[in-house]
Parts: sequence; C-alpha cells; structure tokens
Amino acid sequence: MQKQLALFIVFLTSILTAASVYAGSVYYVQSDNANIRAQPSFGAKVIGKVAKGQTLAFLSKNGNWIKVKIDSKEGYISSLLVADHAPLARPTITKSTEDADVKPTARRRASSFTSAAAARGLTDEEKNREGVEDKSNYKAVDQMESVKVTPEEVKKFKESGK
Amino acid sequence: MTRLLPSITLVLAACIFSITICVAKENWRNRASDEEVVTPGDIAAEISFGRAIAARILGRYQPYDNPALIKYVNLVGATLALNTNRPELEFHMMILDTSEINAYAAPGGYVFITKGALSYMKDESELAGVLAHEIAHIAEKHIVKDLHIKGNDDSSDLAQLIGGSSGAARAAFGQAVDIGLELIFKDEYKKEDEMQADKVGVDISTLSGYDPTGLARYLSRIKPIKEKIPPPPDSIHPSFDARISKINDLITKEGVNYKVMAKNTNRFSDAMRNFK
Repeated sequence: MQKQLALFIVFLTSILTAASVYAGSVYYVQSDNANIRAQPSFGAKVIGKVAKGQTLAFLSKNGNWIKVKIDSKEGYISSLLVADHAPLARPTITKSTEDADVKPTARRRASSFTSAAAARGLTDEEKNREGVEDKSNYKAVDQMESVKVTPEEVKKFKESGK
Repeated sequence: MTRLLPSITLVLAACIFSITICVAKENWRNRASDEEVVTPGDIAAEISFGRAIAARILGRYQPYDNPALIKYVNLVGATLALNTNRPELEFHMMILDTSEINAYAAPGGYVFITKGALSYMKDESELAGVLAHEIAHIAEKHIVKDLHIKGNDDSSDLAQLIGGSSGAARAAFGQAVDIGLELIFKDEYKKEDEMQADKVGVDISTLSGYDPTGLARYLSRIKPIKEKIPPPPDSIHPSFDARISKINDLITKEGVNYKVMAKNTNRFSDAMRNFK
C-alpha cells in the first residue's frame, strides 16, 4: 500500500512539474500599446489594453495569435506585438568602424556585384571618395537617417488621419 | 511484481507526458524565435550590415529631392513601425528617384520606395501596404537569417578568426553585402518569406488602423505593367495572382471590417501635390 502511495505521489509530481513548465512562459509586449481581444481575430471585441514591457502569461498559440492571461483575464494578442524577451534598447552604431564587429557566415553564391572598398576596410568617407567604383553612397544614408519623426508627430499624424 | 505493473505503467506514462509536453513547448518556441538569443552585438551587426546595403542601394539610385514628401512617407512608416516587435530598430524611409516600380528593405530598418511605385498609388493605405510589406521583411529578419548575420560578441575561436577588423573579416562582410543586394534587387526572397511578408504586412497595416486591402489594390494595378517583363526561368518569386488571392483570403479570414478603416485619400493627395 505504501509503495503504491509513493508511486502515486511520483506520478502526481511529474504531471504538476510538466504543467508548471508549460504554463510558466512569459511574453513581453514590444509595441507602445496593444489590444487584448476576446477571440483570435481583428474583428473580435477589445477586452483590454497593455503597454510596452508588460508581461503576459502564455497559455496557447492560435495561428498568428497568442492566448494570454493577464490580471485573471484571458484573451488574445497578435504575435507581432510580443516577444519572449523584454524590449531591447537601440544600440549606438559607430559609423567609422561599423564593419568591424560583424560576423557574416554567408554561404557562397555567384555575384555580379563588386565590393572592393568594403573588402579593403575603408571608412565611410573613403568609401564615398571611391565613388563609381564602389557605388556606396553613405552621404545619402546619413541624409536618410537625418529625417527624424518624434512620437508626438506620429500621434498627431494618426489623429489627423481618415 | 505483477501487482506493481499498473503503478509502473502510470509512472512511465507520466514521464513520457512530461517529456512530450516540454519538447512541444521547445518546438513552439523554436518556431517563434528561431532559437536565437539576440544580443546587443547582433542588433548592432544587423544595423551595420543594413547600412552598408542601404549605401549600395543609394549608390545605384539617387534620393528624391522632395523633403516634404520624404517626411510624409516617414510619418506613415513610423506609424506602421509602432506595431512591430522590433522596438530596438529605428526605421528610416527614403524615396528613390527612378521611374522603376519597386520597393526595397535592407536589414536594420532601411526602407526604400521608388517614385515609379508612388506614381501608381491612389491613397495612403496603398502606400502603407507596400511599406508594411517591406517593414515585415526587416521585422522577420529574412535576410539576416538567410545570411546568418551575427554580432561578434562571443569569444569562440571562429568568431575571433572571422570577426574583428582583419582583411578576411572585411572581405567576408563585403561578400555578404553583395549577396544581400542580390537577394533584394533580383527579388530572390524565398517564396515563403515573400508570402510571410505579405501576411505580416497586412497585419501591421490592420493593427495601425489602415485599410489592409491597400497592398492588394496596388498589386492589382501594377500587375499588368510588371508582368510585361517575363520573370527569369529560375524565378522563385510568387506570382501577382497568388499574392493578391492570399492577401484577400487573409483579410476575410481575420474578419477585418476594412470598409471602416483609414484610406486617407485626401491626405495622400495633399502630400503628392508637388510630386513630379
């Protein structure tokens, strides 16, 4: 009888351990704010809102939707808006040495492009001077990056839509 | 022993159940994140790599000289980027001064749309649809995964050998940029990546409040022009018909009431006023 009881306890512990491992997953909201819906569909009723960095207990996956639990409520969030890690910070890129810390392990393929300057390890300025040969235009990239959009501008832009 | 058999069976069943459920969980996680632990070095590498590709794209095409329209395209792009799971990236949009009808995405957040493509658009939801498709390629790291772009912040012998500032490292970097450009310019994304970018793009548009039919309407309009140029025999790009049909199916399946969602036709017309 004692042996059977011991075996039953082992059985119960195994089940509970497995269940706790499965239910223990946590997801982090990555967008500034996101809706929790009653069903896995954009047409479903919004039953709650969550903010960036908030944690959600994972329950199950349904296509591109994740069933989560938050504050005793269960609902669905688009998998595009969550990740299994906290939101990451934006890194600072040092432009003059930007090529140095990349570890490409690309498989080889035939290519019609040239990359002489990149291979020679030139700085942005030197690459620009290469002009036609290299065909890299880092000044235009700087110009592209200089166009800034503030969160306030985006908010105003969204509100003025329709 | 015979008396113990049912109990042993129970324990074995419990163990198998435990292992199965843990394996199932791991499989799901692997699909969701491709089993990658993302380091700050990986993100920096992705941006540096994308920057090099962006420089090459801008070496081939001049940026369009219309600051007001570029700002407008960036506002649409920033609205969409809020609904991705890549807050660590800053998305940049640029218009390319060419009549070619195209849009490109370089890793790290660099999105390009041509004047030719803009000239075929009728409202903001179509522009949002195209930008969202390109943002989806970046958010899903299609090129980064295909070319295995990683940061050099581990201390393995391999990383020491091919990372860093050696000539070999730079040659490898240059070669990866060449391959990335080839993927972008020759439309050599894998068929499943292209379809996934459509799906994710439609979801990003919807989450941002845009009418998600915009991308399909735009593709239908450019289809007769683009199909005049026959694809290469080895093309792996899905057909326009397949993409349009899939996008429409997705919108129906998701139950999106797109008729009440934003097209922003007037704002698009205003922004395009000085478009030449």
